[in-house]
Amino acid sequence: MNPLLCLLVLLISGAPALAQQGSAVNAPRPTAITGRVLNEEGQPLRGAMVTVFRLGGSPPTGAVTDAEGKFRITNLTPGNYRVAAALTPLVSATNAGPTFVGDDVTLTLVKGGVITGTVSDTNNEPLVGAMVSAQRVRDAEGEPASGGGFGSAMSDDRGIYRLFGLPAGAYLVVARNNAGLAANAATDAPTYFPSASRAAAQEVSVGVGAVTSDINIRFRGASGYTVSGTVSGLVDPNVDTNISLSLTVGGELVASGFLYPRAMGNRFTLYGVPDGEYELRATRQGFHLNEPRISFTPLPVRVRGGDVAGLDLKLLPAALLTGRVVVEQAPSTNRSCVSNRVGRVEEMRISATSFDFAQRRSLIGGQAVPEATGDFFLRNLSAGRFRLMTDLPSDSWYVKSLLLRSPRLNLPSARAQSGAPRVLDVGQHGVTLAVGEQLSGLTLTIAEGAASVRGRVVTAPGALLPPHLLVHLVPVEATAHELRFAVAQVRRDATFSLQHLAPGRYWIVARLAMPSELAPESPAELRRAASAAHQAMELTSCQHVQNFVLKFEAGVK
Amino acid sequence: MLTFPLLALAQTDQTRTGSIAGRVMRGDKPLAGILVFANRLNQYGGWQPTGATTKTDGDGRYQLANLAAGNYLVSPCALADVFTEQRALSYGKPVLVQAGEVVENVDFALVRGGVITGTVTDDSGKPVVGVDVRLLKKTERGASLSYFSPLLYLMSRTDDRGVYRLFGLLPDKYLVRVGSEEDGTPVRNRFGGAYHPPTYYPDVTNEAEAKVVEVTSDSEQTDIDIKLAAAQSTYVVKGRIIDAASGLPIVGARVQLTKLSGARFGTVGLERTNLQGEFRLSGFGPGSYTVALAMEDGFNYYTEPKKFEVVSSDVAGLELKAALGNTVSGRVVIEGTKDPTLLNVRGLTLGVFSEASDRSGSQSARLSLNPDGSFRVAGLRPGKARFNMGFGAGAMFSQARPIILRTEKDGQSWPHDFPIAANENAFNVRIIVAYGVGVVRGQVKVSGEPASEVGQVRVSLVPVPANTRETRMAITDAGGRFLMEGLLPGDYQIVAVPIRPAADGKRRKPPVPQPIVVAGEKETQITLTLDLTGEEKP
Repeated sequence: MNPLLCLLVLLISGAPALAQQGSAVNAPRPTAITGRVLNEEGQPLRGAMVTVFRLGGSPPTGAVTDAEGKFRITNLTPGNYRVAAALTPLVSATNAGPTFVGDDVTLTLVKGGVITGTVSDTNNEPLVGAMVSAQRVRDAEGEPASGGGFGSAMSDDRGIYRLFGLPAGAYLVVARNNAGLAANAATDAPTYFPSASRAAAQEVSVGVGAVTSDINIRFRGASGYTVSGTVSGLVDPNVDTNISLSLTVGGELVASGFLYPRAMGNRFTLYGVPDGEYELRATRQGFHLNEPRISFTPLPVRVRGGDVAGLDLKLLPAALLTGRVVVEQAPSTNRSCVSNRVGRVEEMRISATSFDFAQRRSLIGGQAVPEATGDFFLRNLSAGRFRLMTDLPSDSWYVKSLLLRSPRLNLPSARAQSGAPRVLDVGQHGVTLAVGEQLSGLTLTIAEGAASVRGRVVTAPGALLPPHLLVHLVPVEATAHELRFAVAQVRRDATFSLQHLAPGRYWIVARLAMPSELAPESPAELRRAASAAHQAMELTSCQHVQNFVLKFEAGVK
Repeated sequence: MLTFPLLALAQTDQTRTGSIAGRVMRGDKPLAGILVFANRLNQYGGWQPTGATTKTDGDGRYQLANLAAGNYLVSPCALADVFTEQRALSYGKPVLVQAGEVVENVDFALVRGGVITGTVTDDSGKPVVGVDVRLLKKTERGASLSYFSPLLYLMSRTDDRGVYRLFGLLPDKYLVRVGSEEDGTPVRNRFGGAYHPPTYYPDVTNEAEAKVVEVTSDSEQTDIDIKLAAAQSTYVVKGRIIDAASGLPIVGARVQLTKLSGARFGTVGLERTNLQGEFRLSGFGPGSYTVALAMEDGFNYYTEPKKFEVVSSDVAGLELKAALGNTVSGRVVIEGTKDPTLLNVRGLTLGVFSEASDRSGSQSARLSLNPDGSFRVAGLRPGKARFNMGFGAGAMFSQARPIILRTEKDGQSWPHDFPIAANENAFNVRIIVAYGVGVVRGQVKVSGEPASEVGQVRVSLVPVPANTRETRMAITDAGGRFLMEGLLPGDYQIVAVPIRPAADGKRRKPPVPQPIVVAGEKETQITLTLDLTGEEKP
């Protein structure tokens, strides 16, 4: 139910509130996302495949655009969606942000770029049948991207390959020998352009619709190593499950394997792995397609000059965290500031993320979209400490508190609050889950009246704005929740935007992000850095600060 | 002791004592670094991966060691090169390995394969991107067969300029085609939202007008361009499904739309009925179709397929009357073994097939068995149900599967088709299966033509009386030897037929089948003499 709509109905009609509320409830809710797909010149594109998928939700559905470039995807449940369009070799010009049911969106497709060249072997003869793929490492603005692979193509009888439909950006181009054949046939280590390991690979830039040619790869032909071991834990040879294994680095798939314990036992071997540091991940799929896919905590694997054997990849039962979202409405005296895009709980997304500040790593453990009642279920979580992050649909929402009420909380880490024992402030401390634990009783309270800060970062005269800059908002009170820490990336035009801010007093500071990743700094580190920068600001309910100018001085790291 | 490949995977290296060695050449040039695979030839004329692979050395030589005894298909994977010696199994040589045997001189003389390349454009001349170009092999008798090579799917797709390049092709006569009516994929999505009928080189939609492209080794056929036939309008198909008895709508049922094209057909649409029992499917070009309820676990209705034509307008008002189908339940019982591994039914599936008045509307389903072997299938139409045993997804490495001996109910027994009477459920059905353990080992001797000219010979083992057990196939190796395993005991006929047709101007005598008895666990040995003394064609 849309509270703002109710208010409007009351004002216009002046009729008894209850009756009007009833009719508002019966008004048809939108169930479609509509829009148009255009080319760069604004002409409609016919036959583009448009897909929408609900974050953390159901499988994608789609539609094909008509002669006017229009599409309509119906029968959608309310929620926070992402919309993508494709018409090879055209690619999306921009990443469409969150889209809600009832929205009408315009998507622009531009011609994708091309990377082409040859693959030759050590004798300088064409290497036939090499699988060449492009890994996007930087987007068009030069920002780090770990979008994984974009297309792959096989070298032909002349050794020529051609990758197309590539979004503008910078890529690593990699060739694998015999990769289209059996898994144990691809024993050579991959070669990156021009004739290098991944660490020494040269980036290849692709402009919008441009052809980048002569990206000739001299295949090195060195054997890769094997990574082998056993899978243990939730593996029953009498139950029909398939286990897929993948070895990845920075989102790039390096080797993969497949295990069918009933016929093949629980041993696995992955081939053709070069030196490097990887994550080995297992996904279990039941015999029936409707059985849930279960992903397990990845195992870090380091390959250095030899085969890695005897790994034990434990498939441990996943934990479950359940809770409820409660939205506190702003007092009626203060409603004027509430944005006219009123959110619904089923349009938000909650993710459980585990941070390893020492390793500068964050890992999304699970995602959930609440039901209309506000109930949410974070499934498939591995053991560990999690913080909950939210993706909020309304500009006027902020997260006020995140509390866990559970009989489990007689653990030493649980801090009792006065008058309410057995309440853990998850917003402050995070939540620690044991293997296979099922924990319920989490309450995520959303309040209306969020503040926002928009502005730009300026540097000393003559100094360049460094890439990968972050703006942090750090609460001044030492006891403040981790929930109140906010961070935003600085865009290439030096602007930034921080939203969903709780009213209160903050320090604001611009900091260099860790190289290549959005590596997290711990709250304590941020507090030290932010207090040293001495730039404080007070945000009141519904305050929207515009044109804030934030100085960034190199050396303040 | 007989071993099944399922168990062979768990065998120790001591039983893997065979090996295969040879050399891979192109002309007089040894090919280095070429992958060579040894896959297991199975009992049904196909093959399964074993994981045995190696690379040729600098002199083109390879050795595949640690092989268990059995039938193998040895294939060099040189991608741009082809192996032309044996046309039937163009991607390999069959090799029979016995325990401890070293089979040598399994050599491959490769030639550089041919190339077909060109551009695909739409009717306005714009390149068509990301569409698959298919080859049909034109046989001597004028039939056209789909051409298959293991990597074709990786090279047959047009790039951003509409260009395709098919390489490593066997010298032969081909038709080149874009689009397919039978493969079940909605072709229309691939072509920018419009429906284009399948188009052959050079820009024709009728196969009879297609031009043959002749490929020779080490040659390139360029400019084999295809301009797609003009996009056709597509139409909407609407209808509803009601319960034949009550007239009430059938809600949430899966409706299957099948396109008929000659003797071939393929599913082109699937949709569920709404709360009013209505269905609506869109995007279909002119042609003949049938619509029927699809079989689904836990759904007890069936319909006869309804045939209709799409001509030049939408089709509305199709009404299908659904009737309650029959339920068959019971158990699969494994006979003739006490081996707990073989008695475990996990991973086995039971296929059910029931033919409709029109073949395109046949019901088929694959059920996984409960741990005790029990099963239940609902919604079968009256008539005959045919069962078969198979494997679930992921079990493709297993080779041994039980064979259905008979189906029993209330003391009666049926050798193959099980009758389904109208309005009569069948409970306590017992499907009796067994693992065959019989072996036939043989040798084919050729007279009348040099054995080297004859090449591979296909040996078929046909049960007597017919259809009481499975028919099996084997291909002879270079020495004329063959092996058939996992057979049920009983009377059979065995017959050998050369794969390669007789040289021009010759006519061979018809093959003469020979009776053979397969014993329970004792190996049966046989020598087949193939008299190929040719006669001149009249």
